[in-house]
Amino acid sequence: MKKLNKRGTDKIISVYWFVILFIVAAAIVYMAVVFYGEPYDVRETEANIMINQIADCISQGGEIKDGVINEEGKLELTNENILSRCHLTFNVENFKNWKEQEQFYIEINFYKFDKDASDGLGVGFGNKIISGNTNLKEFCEKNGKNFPVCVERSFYTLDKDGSQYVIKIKSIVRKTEKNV
Amino acid sequence: MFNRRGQIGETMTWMVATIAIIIILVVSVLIVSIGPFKNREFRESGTSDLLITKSFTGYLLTDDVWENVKDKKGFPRDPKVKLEQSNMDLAINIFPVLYSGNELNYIWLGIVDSTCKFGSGCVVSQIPFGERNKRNLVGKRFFYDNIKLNENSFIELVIKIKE
Repeated sequence: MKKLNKRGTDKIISVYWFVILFIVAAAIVYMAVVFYGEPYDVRETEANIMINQIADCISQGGEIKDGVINEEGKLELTNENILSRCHLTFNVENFKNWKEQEQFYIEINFYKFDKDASDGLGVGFGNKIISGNTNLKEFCEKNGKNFPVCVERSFYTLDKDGSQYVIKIKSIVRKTEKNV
Repeated sequence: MFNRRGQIGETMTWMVATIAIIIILVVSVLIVSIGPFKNREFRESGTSDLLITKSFTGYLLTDDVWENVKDKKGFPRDPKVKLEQSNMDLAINIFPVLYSGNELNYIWLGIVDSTCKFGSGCVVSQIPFGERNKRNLVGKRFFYDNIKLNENSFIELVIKIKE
């Protein structure tokens, strides 16, 4: 009689253990899915990488590279050749109509350096160079994770003659669906 | 009678243990669900920044800056090792341009005696933008670049932006 009772208790404890094991495993799986399932927002990094690539394409060793400003003192970089000259491509994977709406925008402005101006920016030099989806620009003033990420950086450089420039680069990345 | 007491005691232990396990799990799940792990932003780490390096190199090539600094030695608090006033003014104009005013937290540029340690009072040879101290060289978002001038000294630029 005693033996039968003991067997019954053992069975109940086994079932209990399986239930607890299942609950614990399910909770761990849920937490792992929630933790790793949330996307990292890498758009700011992506925008910075584009800026670095463009800066490298324009200036090296503190001086503007050959072929950026010609002998007549005019900018050789244009809207049409900026991507190929800087080895950039705006191609994206085919995801939620990304192919139909460009996901990137870049804008480059050259300024003469003016030490008396509060922001160091003197008169503009050459035309503004732009490429990509111009519609993204209007979102830069807005805050919110669902808007494209805008990064604007400047750097100081010289040309071969020692003239001083500040080059301002704006980079915008949309790709909201995969980063938010 | 004794056997029953034993059974009740064992059951109570398991009930308490089950409740404890469930509470721990529920708390963990809640923390993960509503906690700070959502909306994660990936930020680059490191203390180097390409645009700062480019601007720093450009600054050193401007006019007579390099000529003025290349032979300087960072001896403790020697007024001779100071940057020329004109070079300092130029730096004050250039480096704040890199970041908009409200982002910038701290800038330091000067010649450092590499044989000295922080806090020994002999590292500072130039204080154009504020004191160079260890407190300002920590944090997630600071960048620095330096160029060796000679065996004992280097010129260094430190930029810290708000977190």
